[in-house]
Amino acid sequence: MTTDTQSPDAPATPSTDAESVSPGDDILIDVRNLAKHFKISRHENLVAVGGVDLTIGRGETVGLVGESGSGKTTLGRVMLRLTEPTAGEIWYGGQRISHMSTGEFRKIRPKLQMVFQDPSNSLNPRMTIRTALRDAVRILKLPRDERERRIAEVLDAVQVSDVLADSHPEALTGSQQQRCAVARSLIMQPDLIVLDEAVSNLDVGGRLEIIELLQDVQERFGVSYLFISHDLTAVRSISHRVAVMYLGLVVEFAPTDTVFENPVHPYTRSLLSAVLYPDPDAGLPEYALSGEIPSPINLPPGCNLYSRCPVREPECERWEAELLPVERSGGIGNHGAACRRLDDILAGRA
Amino acid sequence: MTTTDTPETVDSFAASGDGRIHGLRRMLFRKPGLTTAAVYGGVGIILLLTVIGPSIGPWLADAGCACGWGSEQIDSGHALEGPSGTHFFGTDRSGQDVFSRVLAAPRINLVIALAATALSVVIGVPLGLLAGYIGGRALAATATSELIMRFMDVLQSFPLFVFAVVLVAVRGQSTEIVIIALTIVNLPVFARLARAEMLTVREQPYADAARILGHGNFRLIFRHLAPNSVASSVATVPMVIGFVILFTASLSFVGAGVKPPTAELGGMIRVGANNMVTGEWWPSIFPGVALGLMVLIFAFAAQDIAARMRAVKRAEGLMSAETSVEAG
Repeated sequence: MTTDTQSPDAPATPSTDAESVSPGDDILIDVRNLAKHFKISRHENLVAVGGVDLTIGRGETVGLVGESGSGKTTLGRVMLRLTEPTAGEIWYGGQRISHMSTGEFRKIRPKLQMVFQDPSNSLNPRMTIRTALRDAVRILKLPRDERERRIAEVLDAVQVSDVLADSHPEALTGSQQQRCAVARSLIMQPDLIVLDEAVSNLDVGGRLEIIELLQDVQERFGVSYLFISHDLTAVRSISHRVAVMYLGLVVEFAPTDTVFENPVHPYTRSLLSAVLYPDPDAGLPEYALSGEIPSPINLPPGCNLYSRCPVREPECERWEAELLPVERSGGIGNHGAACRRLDDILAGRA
Repeated sequence: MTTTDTPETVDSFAASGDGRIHGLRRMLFRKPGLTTAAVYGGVGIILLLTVIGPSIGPWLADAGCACGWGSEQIDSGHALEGPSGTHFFGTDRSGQDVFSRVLAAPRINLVIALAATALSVVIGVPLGLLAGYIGGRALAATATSELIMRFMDVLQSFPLFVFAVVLVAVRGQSTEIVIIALTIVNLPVFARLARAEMLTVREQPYADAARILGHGNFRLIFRHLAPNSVASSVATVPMVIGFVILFTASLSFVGAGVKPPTAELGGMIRVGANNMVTGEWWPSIFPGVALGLMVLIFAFAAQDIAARMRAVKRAEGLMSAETSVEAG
């Protein structure tokens, strides 16, 4: 297997356009047409990720939102090769890591980390936090003094005391456990951390605590995040850009404020309108999709949202979804949406 | 070390963490009740007899007691005598003192049981862990996993007793062969338990976390997954020891176990069985009761260990649920 190290070619869609990356222009991860299919039987494939283009800049946080089963977690796992992709490419720092051998990729592995949803199960119950950190940093083959210095540094960064560090996970609260999980990722000095529903299992206070911690860590170490979450408020507070997924595809990708204030894709609009506010008079969602989410097994060609879309036309059933630049239609800029009726939506005709 | 002891973290730890860990320890090492004390007292007595059992008779003889007999010593002219002050449990048809032999017998029974169980664990658990870890992945790995487990099926499909008797018949009657036969008989038990736990543990997020740090398969299995996959096997060990003691006695009862005149409970029951019909019950009943007690004690110990593990797991589950739903 060959390992490409040349710079990635110029991207074809708005989402992979270097100009669209914020806050810096430096692309860290470039995912191209990434797909993951799970074989259910001889004739059936479950399309978890159906060909996604995505970029993440250095020091940037990209939020990934969507319903359960839309493929967010699978995309995060495939990007880190925790699950091997079926097709597509993953570029990291000018290297095509998707096609590297396991041995080659292991050298890069520490730079791409993940924090999991369930903090109580993501820490080995038989290890104290300090042992777990020692076990992690051992991989880097550093001198002993340097290892201990780094452990102290990350414990300090995530505000975990010595007493907590010498405890087993079961003795910690959820947010303490999650801080320790962040510390374990951080000790590898990663460039990217995939945060898979990292705050979903926490109470409101713990959620805020972890989000502030993540922002502080990003400022301090310049790490990038892929922030996977159902919690749109959390996504809005931490992300620079947001990608919206539906049935394995990114249907809208734009800077956070654009997605939340001027969404164009029908699915994004319905998702945002489904957010409940603490106001009993606010009423139910006004932009709701009809019907159930289709099965991801053997998806028919055409727009995935066709069966539920409020602005569909017969041609949409055969339209191969791709991210179209919104600015081409006189829109907001740095913004892509996968809808055939984009012009009509922007012109207020749909 | 420059860690931050913020009042918040210290307070929350004091409120929840410290109390939790002590709760678990209390549960695991709680003060035993009367039954538990009796069970572990029994285990202690068996272990003590294993060490000093064969020497008790000669010690009594050295101390000038008429009841002191070696386990293989024959009191000629006093065969099949009933229990008395000289022979507490009477004598068998060879004139051997049943009491001294009952005290001496646990050594060979327990040595065989411990050796066979230890070998079954040492071979069976790693095989099961390997089968569980590699199963359902790449084709070759899955095939290897299937091969291991089908081999265990083959071992289990033999009638165990017939298998052990045939092995002893082919390889000759010796303690080593009995240990090998019993090891083979118990291999599938530990392999299956370890595989089942590994299949669960390998899907835990902490396994993924270790993988994503960059650990190789070897370290991943032995440092992260194996220690979390052996609880069932550990809890089963006392039960298997009890089973092996019974199995050894059964083999000896049919003449395929430990060679006479070594004191062994099954062999003693066999020797005395012929005299039962003529009313001399003591050569069989006393070793029979001793055998029953040994097996029961290990069965109760296994049950107690399993109960403690369940309690700890339940407590951990409750804590983890509490942690996960802090929002209440």
